[in-house]
Amino acid sequence: MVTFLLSLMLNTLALGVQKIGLLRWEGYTVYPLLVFVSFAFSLLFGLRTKQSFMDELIEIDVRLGLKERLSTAYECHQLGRKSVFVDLLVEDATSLLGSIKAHEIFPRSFSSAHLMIPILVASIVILLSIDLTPNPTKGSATGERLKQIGLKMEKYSKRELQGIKEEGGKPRRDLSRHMENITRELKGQSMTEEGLLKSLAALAKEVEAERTQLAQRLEAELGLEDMLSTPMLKPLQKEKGSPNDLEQLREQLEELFEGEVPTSLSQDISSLDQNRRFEQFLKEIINEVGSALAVEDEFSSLKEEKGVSLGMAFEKGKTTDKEISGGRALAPLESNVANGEGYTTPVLGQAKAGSRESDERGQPPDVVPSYAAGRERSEGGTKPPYELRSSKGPVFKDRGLPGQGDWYNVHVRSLPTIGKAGLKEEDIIRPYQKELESALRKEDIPLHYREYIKNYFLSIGLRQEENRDGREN
Amino acid sequence: MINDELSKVVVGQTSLITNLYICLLCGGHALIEGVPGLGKTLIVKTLSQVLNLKYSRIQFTPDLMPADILGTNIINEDEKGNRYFEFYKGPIFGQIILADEINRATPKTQSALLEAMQEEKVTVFGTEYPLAPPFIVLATQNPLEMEGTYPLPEAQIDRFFFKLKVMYPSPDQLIEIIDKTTEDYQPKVRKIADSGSILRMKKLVTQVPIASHVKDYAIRLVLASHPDENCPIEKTKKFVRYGSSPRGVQSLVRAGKVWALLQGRYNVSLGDIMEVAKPALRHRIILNLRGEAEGIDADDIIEDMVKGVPEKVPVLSSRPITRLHPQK
Repeated sequence: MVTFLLSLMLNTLALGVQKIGLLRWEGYTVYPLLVFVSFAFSLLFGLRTKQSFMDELIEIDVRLGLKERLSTAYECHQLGRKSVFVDLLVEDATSLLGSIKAHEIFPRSFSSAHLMIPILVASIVILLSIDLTPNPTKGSATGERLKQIGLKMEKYSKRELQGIKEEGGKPRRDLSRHMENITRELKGQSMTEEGLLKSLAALAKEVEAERTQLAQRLEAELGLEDMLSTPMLKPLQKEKGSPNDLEQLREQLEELFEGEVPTSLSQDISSLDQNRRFEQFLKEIINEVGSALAVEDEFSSLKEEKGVSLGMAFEKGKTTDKEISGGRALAPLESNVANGEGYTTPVLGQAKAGSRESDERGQPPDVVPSYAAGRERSEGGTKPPYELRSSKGPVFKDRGLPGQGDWYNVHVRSLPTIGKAGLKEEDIIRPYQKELESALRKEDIPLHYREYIKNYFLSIGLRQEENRDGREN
Repeated sequence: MINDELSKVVVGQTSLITNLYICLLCGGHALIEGVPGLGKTLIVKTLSQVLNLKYSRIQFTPDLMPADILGTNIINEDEKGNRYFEFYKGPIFGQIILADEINRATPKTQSALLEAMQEEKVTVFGTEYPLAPPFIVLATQNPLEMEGTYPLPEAQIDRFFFKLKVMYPSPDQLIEIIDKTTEDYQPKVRKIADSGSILRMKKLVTQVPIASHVKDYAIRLVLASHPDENCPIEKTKKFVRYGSSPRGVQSLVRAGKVWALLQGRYNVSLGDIMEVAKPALRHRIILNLRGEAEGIDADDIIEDMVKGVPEKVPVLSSRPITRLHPQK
């Protein structure tokens, strides 16, 4: 009875907790597991507290005042004891049992605990029939909207990213896969708005990084020193790489190469265009979801962190040769990409250069902050280097003294972490203290002499203090 | 039937008589405590008559010597003038021995009873003399008069199966006593049993079945008389110096068996154990100084024990019935 009640109670509890959505692991229900656990626990409890038949007999003996006749007779029977009295006792117990009515042996008592059974059963039925789960996607306008977004993303993915999936490099294939995952989760209605926004933000980061990489490669292929001074790259340096700008660049390149633009250049330009469109699409989706502001923040913070390279270069406007030479610091980063260290490596040096140039022209400071050593421009405050978020420091380029040979690059990865020790002070002091104490303990002083010695030294100390006081007076 | 015969002579004291009978059937001895004049001697004497057993009375005095109880070798001379030692049996060679005012004798004399009580034989000058069964010592002592007495040592007290208290008769009983003793009344008691029948009954008593949980209860009851940390009885912790020995459990179970038979049952119940708890344990509980000073009665402690020890052990710790009775 107790076991049954316990099982019902645990089930109700598990169902209730599940229904209000406290126990949901990545969208999957854990109710079957809870039911199993509750049944197992109840069974274990029941088996552990189960009364033996002997205990039942003892209870009947006590309840009906049978003077332990039933239990003793049963025990003698079980143990196979034989004596004159055992036979008489068994007969006596049998006749007694015959004279007692069944309802006296097992009385039907009704307690308040019995009331719990229908209540608990009703609770389980009610909980099973209603749905209190705050399901973000099921049966609501938001859910529908998310579903529509999913369809839209799927359509876009099929239309635009199919080629990327088949022909693109690893990073591009990852983008495509990421997009597909989001689409699948939206279709399965297992993604919340917040989750979608986060996923889109992450995807946007990846797209931006991809664009950065493409831009770097294009810049390198164009042979920066010779070609960037020509007016053909001017469209690229305007506000943004709009479709017209890219088309203009393509035309100019065709003119330059007399109609035979190298395939790698044309592919990069088209990829850039594709990325731009993808980015635009993601922004539209984010706006559509409604929490555009939060995502924009995420997006802008991403920009702050990464110090977008060529994308930024598009936005910075005019650059001088000198400043563009600062952009040559891109070279080692390209090697980083080649080495597989990640294509999202920021090109901080260039971002700094662009920013400084804007300041010199008296224009309002660039909204996109960049890192300078020991400064965090975005907040306008000064922070020690170990609090800078980026582990890599800015990249400098130095040509060296004129006529002294090639220039070289210096990577300042990070400054030593001053002010934050790896070990606590007490962790260092404590071993010394222990060593000292153990050395003192090693002194071979008989136990009962310690007090005398201690008193002696205390008296010396007192005397010395007295002498010192006397002298001072 | 025995009670009927006894009631011809003895007025009241049914509880005492029953307990004496239990002692006899269990092969134990009883220490009877009561003020003089309550009919202790009369009860014992009448019981021996009813049961057809040899009765001896030893009046313990400070100058009583062991030889006066056990007997001694005396030099005899035969017809030819040859002298030889002959063992002269003392009063211990009876079947119902009344050791009157046992605490008046010296410890040396008291201890002369030890071997007889425990092993039902005496050894004199290296020769063992068995005592005729059934053998029962019924010792009396006066609880008031303590001057010039030698309290029995714990070892000897523990050898007594029961310690019985003789209660003062009620006014009605006193009237009956007056009637029976001051008028020309000569009751004649019949001999109901004999040694053989008593021995057969003793053997039957051992066959009375007892359930393991009843034995458990007896054990827990005796353990509750020990003032250790786990003792659930507050009075035991406060006033007891030493609790009952294992002889206490033996007494409880054996006496419980006879009590059950006397009640017309064939098994020992928890109630039987409770019923015999006081006479079986009261002399085995040794009070501490505080208990002595405050005049605590061992019976009060036993009452608390009976109330405080649960009849049924909790379900979780219940043991299988085969534990106490391993199947052979």
